[in-house]
Formats: sequence, C-alpha cells, structure tokens
Amino acid sequence: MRTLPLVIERKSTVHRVLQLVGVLAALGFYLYVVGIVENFSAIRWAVAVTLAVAILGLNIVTGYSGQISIGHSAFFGIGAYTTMILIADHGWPFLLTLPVAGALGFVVGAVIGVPALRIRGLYLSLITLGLALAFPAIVKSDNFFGINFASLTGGSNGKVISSGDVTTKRGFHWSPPTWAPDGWTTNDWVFTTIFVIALVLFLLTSNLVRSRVGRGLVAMRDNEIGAAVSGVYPAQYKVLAFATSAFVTAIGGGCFALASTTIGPDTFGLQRSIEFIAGLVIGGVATILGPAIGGGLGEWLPYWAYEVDWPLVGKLEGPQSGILYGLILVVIIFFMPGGIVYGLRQLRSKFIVFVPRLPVPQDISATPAVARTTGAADRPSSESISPPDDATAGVQ
Amino acid sequence: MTAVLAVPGIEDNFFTLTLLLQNLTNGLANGAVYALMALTVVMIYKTTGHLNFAQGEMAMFGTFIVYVLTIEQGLNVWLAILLVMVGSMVVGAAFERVLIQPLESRSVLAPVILTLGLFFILNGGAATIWGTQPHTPIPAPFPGRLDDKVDIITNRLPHFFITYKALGVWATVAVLVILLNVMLKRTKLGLAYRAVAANAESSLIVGIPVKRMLMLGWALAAGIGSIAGAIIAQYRNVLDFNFMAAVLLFGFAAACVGGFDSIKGAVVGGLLVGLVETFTPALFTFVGNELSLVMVLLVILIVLYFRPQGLFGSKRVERV
Repeated sequence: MRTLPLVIERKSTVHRVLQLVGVLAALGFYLYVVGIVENFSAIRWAVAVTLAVAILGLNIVTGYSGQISIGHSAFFGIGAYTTMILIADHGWPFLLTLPVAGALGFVVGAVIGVPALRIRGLYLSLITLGLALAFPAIVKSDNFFGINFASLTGGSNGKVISSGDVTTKRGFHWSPPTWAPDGWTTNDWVFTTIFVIALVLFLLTSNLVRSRVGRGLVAMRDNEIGAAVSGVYPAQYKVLAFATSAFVTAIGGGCFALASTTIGPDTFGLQRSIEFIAGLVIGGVATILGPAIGGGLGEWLPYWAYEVDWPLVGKLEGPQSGILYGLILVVIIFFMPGGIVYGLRQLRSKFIVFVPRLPVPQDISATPAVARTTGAADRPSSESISPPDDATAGVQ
Repeated sequence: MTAVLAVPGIEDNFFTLTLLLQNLTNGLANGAVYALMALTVVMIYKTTGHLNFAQGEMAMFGTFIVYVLTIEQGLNVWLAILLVMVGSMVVGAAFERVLIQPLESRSVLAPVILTLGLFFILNGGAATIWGTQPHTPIPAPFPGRLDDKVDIITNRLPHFFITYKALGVWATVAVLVILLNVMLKRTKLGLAYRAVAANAESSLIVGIPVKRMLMLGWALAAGIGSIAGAIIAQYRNVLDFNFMAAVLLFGFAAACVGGFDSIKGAVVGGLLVGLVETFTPALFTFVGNELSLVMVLLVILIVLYFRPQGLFGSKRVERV
C-alpha cells in the first residue's frame, strides 16, 4: 500500500499510459460531438474550437511573452474576412484560404508590433485597444484612404458564404466527402475539419513554446535583461511572437468564417477581444490546455447566461453576459491565479506527482512582466507599490 | 465659391475662413473632452504606473446614475453631477484599495487584467440594468439648444459661431486643471501625492501614507471621469452602455501624445487629438468621416515611433 501522492517517473510506461488516456479523452470529445450531440450543437462546438484557436494565438503573446493584447479580435476578424471573401467572391477552396488569412494576420501583427514592442511597458495593450476599436470601423468604411472596404466586406450588413447551386462552380459547399461514415451531416464535417486544424495548431504551438524560440520568449518574459544577455534579442523576439500569435488567431478566424457562415463587423469588436483575454486567464495562462477551456467558455458562457434564470437579473443576453465573464475573471485572479488548468494541476499533485517536476506553470499574475533591476522581492514587504520609474531604473 | 486650390486629395473648401474656424472650434471642443479623459489616465498613471481600462465604463456608469437622479428623481443636473462625482471618488478609492492593491505585489499585467474584468462587469451591468438601447440623454449641464451660441462671423456663409456647450467644456477643463494644480502644488496632500509619484520608496521612508496616495489617484481619476461622462453625454447627445469605450481610447491617445505623467501634457494632447480627429477628414478627401478611431490609432503609432515619452512626459521609456 503506497501513500499518496503517487510518484510517477516521466517517460515511464505508466506516464505513457496516462498520456494515452489524455489522447483518448480528446478523441472521446471528438466522437461525442460528432456522434452524440445534436446537429445544431455540433456547429456550436465547432465555433468553440475556433475560439480556442484564437485564444491559443493570444496565449503566445500574453502567456509566453508577457504582453497583453486587447486587439486579437481584429486578427480574428482579419482571418474571418479573408476566408469569407476568398470563398464567397473568388470561389477559393476553404483550406487554401487559411494560409492567406494567417499571412495577412502575421503582416498586420508585425506592422502593429514594431512600434509597440520596441518600448517597454503597456504600450502594446494601448495600441491593440485602438486596433480592436478601429477594426469594425475600418470594415464598415467606404473611404479608408480611398479604399472602399465596405464593398469588399459587405459593410455593416456583414457577409455570408454563398451556398449556391451545386452544379455551379461559385457556390460553396462543405459537404462530407464520399468516404465519410453514413449519417454525417455538413455540421459534423465542418466540426471534423476545424477540429483537425485546431489539433495541428495546438501541437505546433506546444512544440513552439518548448523550442529554442519558446524558451527564449519565456526567459525574456521572466527576466528581460537576463535573457538579452544570454542572446535573446528582445525586440525581434517580441515582434516575432506577436506576429506569430496574430497568425494563429487569424487562422482561427478563417475557421470561424466556415463554422458560422455569417460574419459582421461587430462580431470582432472590443467585447470579443476582452472575451479572449478573459477566456485565456480563466482557462490558464501559459498552458496549452488553457485556451481550449477558454474557447469552450467563449461559446457556451453566453449560452448559459441566456438559458439560466439568474437571481436578481434574470436571463442575460448578448453583452449582458459580460457580467459573468468579469466576475469569474476577478474571482480567478484572486483565488486561482494561473487559471483552471493550474488549479487542476494543484489538485492532481495531491494524488499524482510526476518526476522530474516541470517548472511551476507561469502564472501571468505572478510573473514580473518587466524585468526589474531592483527586484520586487528585494523591496520591503510593507511596501507593495511599484513606482513607475523603478521598472526602468538604471537601464537607460 | 471657386476652388482655391486644385490639389488632388485635398478638400477645396477646407480653406474657407469660416469653415476653417468652425472646424478649429469643433476640434478644440472635442479635444477638451479628450483632455478630461487624459487627465484621469494621468492621475492614475503618475502614482501607480497602471492604465485603467475600466475608466470609461466607470464614467459611463456614473453618467447613468446622473440619469437616474435627474430624469427619474428630478434632481438638478449640477447637483446630481456633484453627488455622482463624490460617489465615484469613494468607489474609485475603494476599487484601488480592495481590488488593485492586493495585486501590486504580482506583476504589472495582473491589475490590467483586473481592470478588463471591471470593464466587463460595469459594461454588462449597465446593459442589464438600463438595457442595451440608447437612452434619452441626461439634462444638459450647459445650454444646448440650437440657438445657444455666440455668433462671431455672420456676414458670409457659412456662419461662424461658438456654442455655449463648447464654451462650457472649455470652462470645465480650465477650472479642473486650475483646481488640480492648486491642490497638487499648494496643499500638503498634493505635496504628498507628488512625492509618491516621484519616488514611492523615499516617500514611505519620510512617513507619507503611500497607499492612501494611490487611492487618492484613483479617486481623483474617478471623479474627473464622472464629470467627463456627463459632459460627453451632452456634447455627443448619446447615452448607452457603450458610449465611453471609444472616448477612453481618445483619452489614452491624448495621454500618449502629451506624456502619461503630465497634466499639462494631458490637456495639450487632448486638444491635439481633437484637432487631428476633426481636421483629417475635413482636409483630405480620402479619409472617411468614420475613420476618427483609425486616425487616433495612427497618432499613437507615430508618437510611439518618434517620441515615446510624449510631448511633456518625463523620459522613462527605454527601447529594447
């Protein structure tokens, strides 16, 4: 009889078996959505997965390089509109539109990131706030430096994937292929496609953050000067991370266009951006599973908000569900910093411990985003303020 | 009127004297509103180094309470604004004490995320209590009927006039800035506030209640914000649960232009942002009217590129 916690060595057979259980759980989720839930919910789950991909992108910049972006709704929107326009107006196949969507997101991310990230501080959040607010205005604009965006994007009316006649080339159908199992609906096939794309992106991102670049990012987040001394170019890495994150989120947006088939400018406003951040923080910053939880929340929380008859306020519709988001966010920040994933890991560590231990998952709210030459810990504990000039003292 | 210039991309009648003057006063009036929001940003940033993304929503909530007090309870509008201002200051200080201070020992990102959470709670809260539809705006603090204006040039068309509400906005900004300056430069409280802004650690050593000064910063910001909310509601003739989000961005832009820790900068930056917002669509034919947010984004980008500390800010930024 062994006592808890159980100690399991990494890469041992038992560990591998447990990992297999994780893979089976993902497979189980997939089969559950395709096989069991009703057709309409399958599409909602597909949207949830696209939101998860968007938050996965945000995680690269917020979780791993320690900068807050309030503008990821715009990258999500760029991806969605790119895919939508290419499919509806130019008859491109869906999968080919995704690289274009991602590339556009990458370029815009780099352009925005260069001025914001060369300077230390909260400037990225400032610029991206502007981006989130400006994006719907640009989409609706019929005179953006002479460009008529409204005619391209459908303006405030939004845009719909045209499902024309099957025989014409221009109509768009994402029907299940011939080799699909019997009884698969279009929704099942849409979910399958998006699920596979999301899996690939989650795997790639998980590899990215464990690669040389990812370790550089984390090093820079935790101690910028130390990282710079060790050969991580802060400006380059930050801009690259931000652009990559925009890339991933834009691909999520492209998938979103497929799943929701209708998009409008106000789907991609400030609310959406804050939902992404809230989803990430609630799910678990700087974890790979956190964005998955955040994506599910992003789709289903507004739904629950409307379905449940809440005390005092009744049903919460549309922007009103922000109350729930905000409350959960505040509670999480205070009581479970690091989010649900971190909380679950702490719970698990009471029963099972993996050795060698990984470093404690970086909780965004425990990480000094600004490398301090006079470390926060060195200061007297009675004084818990951070004077603005302290962050940069001595590094002019 | 014949075209003065025939430059492609330039609006010809932009240079008509009265139109030019009208655009100037409009820009300066908008800019004064942004200056108020920029002041709230500065009051918090000076001591804590934070940006409060819920500032606009706090002002929005306050304006709704002014709405309840005046329209539903029949109070005088200035009395209502005064009450809400005092209430906002208490709430602002309480937010700082209860929600922000416990996070100070963590990172600069934690308070930012918390203010985003506050944004959601206040925004969704207002949408729940007062609905998502636009409301009848609050009673006007300043005379706002069509003929409430000072005519200046009437012997040619279009006329040039200044509305009372524009004068009211300027007067409000002037009074607030004077009061703030008197408070900061002539009182012990202000001295303590400035000491904390300059060096919190040393302030603590000489016995200044640093934490109270941080609360003071939030209280001042919330108070100024509530006035700004009421004035903007009249000036833009709008009251709904979203009306302050964009205004806050303009305030941030103004603070960015002027420098995040300078009161003078907030005012000058606000006026400049207001002028850019009004003049660019009026001057260039290829800039649509609805692009003011984009112009402001460009202003922030340009400032960050060439003078990241802003016009009057102290040089604290460093390149990486």
